[in-house]
Amino acid sequence: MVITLTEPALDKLKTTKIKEQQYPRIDAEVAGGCGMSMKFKLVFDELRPNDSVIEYDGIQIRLDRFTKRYLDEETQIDYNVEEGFLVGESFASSACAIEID
Amino acid sequence: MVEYNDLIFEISRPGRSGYSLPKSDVESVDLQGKLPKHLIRDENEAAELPEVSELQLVRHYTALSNKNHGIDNGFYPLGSCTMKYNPKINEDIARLPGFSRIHPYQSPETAQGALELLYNLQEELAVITGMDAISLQPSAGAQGEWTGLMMVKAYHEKNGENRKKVLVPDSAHGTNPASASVAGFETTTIPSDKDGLVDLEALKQLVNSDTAALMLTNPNTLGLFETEIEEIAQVVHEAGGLLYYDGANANAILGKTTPGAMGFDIVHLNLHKTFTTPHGGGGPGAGPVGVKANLIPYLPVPRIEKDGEDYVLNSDYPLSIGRVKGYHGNFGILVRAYTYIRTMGPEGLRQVSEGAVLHANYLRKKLEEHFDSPYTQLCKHEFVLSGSRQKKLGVRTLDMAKRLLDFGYHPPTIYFPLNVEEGLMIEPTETESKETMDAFAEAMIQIAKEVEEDPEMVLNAPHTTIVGRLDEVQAARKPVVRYTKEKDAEREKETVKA
Ligand SMILES: Cc1ncc(COP(=O)(O)O)c(C=O)c1O
Repeated sequence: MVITLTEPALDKLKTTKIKEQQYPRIDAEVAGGCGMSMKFKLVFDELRPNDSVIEYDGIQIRLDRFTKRYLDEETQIDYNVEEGFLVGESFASSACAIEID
Repeated sequence: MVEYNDLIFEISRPGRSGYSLPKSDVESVDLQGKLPKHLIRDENEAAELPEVSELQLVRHYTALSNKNHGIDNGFYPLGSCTMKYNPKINEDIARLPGFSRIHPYQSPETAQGALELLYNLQEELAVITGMDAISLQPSAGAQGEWTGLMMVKAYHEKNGENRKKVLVPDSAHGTNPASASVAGFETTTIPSDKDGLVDLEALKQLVNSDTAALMLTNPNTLGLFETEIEEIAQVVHEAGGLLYYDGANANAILGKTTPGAMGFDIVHLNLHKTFTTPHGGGGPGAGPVGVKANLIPYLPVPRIEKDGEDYVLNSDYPLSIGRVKGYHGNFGILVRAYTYIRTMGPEGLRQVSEGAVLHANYLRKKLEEHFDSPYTQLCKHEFVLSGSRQKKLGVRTLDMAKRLLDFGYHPPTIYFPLNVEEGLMIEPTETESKETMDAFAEAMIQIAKEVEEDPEMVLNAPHTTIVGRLDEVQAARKPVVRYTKEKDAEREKETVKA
């Protein structure tokens, strides 16, 4: 699994003050109802027992087993002021724009 | 028996067939030159249909149907869906030839019995909901919502107003904003307060002369009763808006109160929930709508009415929104719902809601110390737990739901409503026994323990089902919905590699 950070994301992460006992993490967020959708977010929180750690340019990023299962092999983290951190691709199990072959 | 777990394509053998026809006594004709070229299929393009015997076919599909989980073979606490037992007497009555063999094009004089049943059902549902008139046409909850909103639109237009906004709480079922949008409205979301109820102050800020209607479920999707409903109704009515009741949760209030008494103007019911008609694959749905007197002119036509001793179809309502469904709704389903109402009677229906509420609170209490409970007050027919405690240990609600499959239960509704983190929405219904609920609670508690002591067990679930954990990412992004030999070979190669 490869995680890359864009220049702005790296800058922002390096300058963000993170509370003690908290670490940057990519976290899958699930929304349900009729068909499930999944979004990935960058959050700062505590360790979880089954975390994996991925390093990029001296920065350690964590993800739990669940998130790892759903995240793409290659994921990019970007940052902009309006939207904050943007992580990878989200997906919905009942999306209309899917590729069928 | 392994054979019958294979795809029907894998059982297929060239040349095998499930039928035999007598030799044709008509001379065969070469189509070339007789039909336009583009209408003649090239032999290589023939559909690759499976070739199996009749017995293989029967065994294959019987085996498949046995893998299905339905209310007749197990507990199904799918919140918001009211998966309760569908009494078999409903089926007996719906199959009576007088109901099953009539045709919708028969003239009303020859279908008086069927029309009488529909008329009586309208009358019963009007009493149950506290409304003045009912239309049985809509064929699902969502279509009932849309029908209701089309009436809202027609009503405001008749009053010379073009109100554009429909207010929907953040805990609402997704069909509410969707129906509003399809009916041509814009939706505004009302936040919930800390108790999971409509934030009355926020509502007051959002209601104005552009408000066409407020859509509300009561009890709401969290299973909580909106205690300030009278004031909510007043706020909306004073601004000239209408109140729409999403009656999908009516199982919690049957015989106790009515949307009419709460101040609602329009309501839909889901007969496939509250009134024990089959869900989904078991048959079509029905979502009748009811209205207060001032909205009767807008109801769909034809309306089923009584004229002296006769039952008639009346389309003479110039303000009607028109027909919303072919014929008279899903008739067989309406027969089942009517059977249920008549077999239960008013006292029986009251016991339904009392049982539903008692069961939900019993299970809630059993589970509340093992999971986070965002709302701790007494609930109605369902309750919502949160898996946030387990998330901190690296296990998610989805993992726990998969683990429940190993115990033979259909999981609760998960990740819904959207305002609860890692939500688990549980609706046991009144038709389950105490033993079933106890066993389910034990399974849930065991899973909560496993999360702490043996998380791999939960993370890799399910273990006992015919297929293990499915790859939802692949399924969402690259679904393969058609079998071809080439694709299958490719898939086999990839699985071996992995
Ligand atoms: C609260 C609520 N409203 C509306 C609906 C929509 O009903 P239907 O699925 O029949 O369209 C549902 C059904 O799932 C529901 O739970």
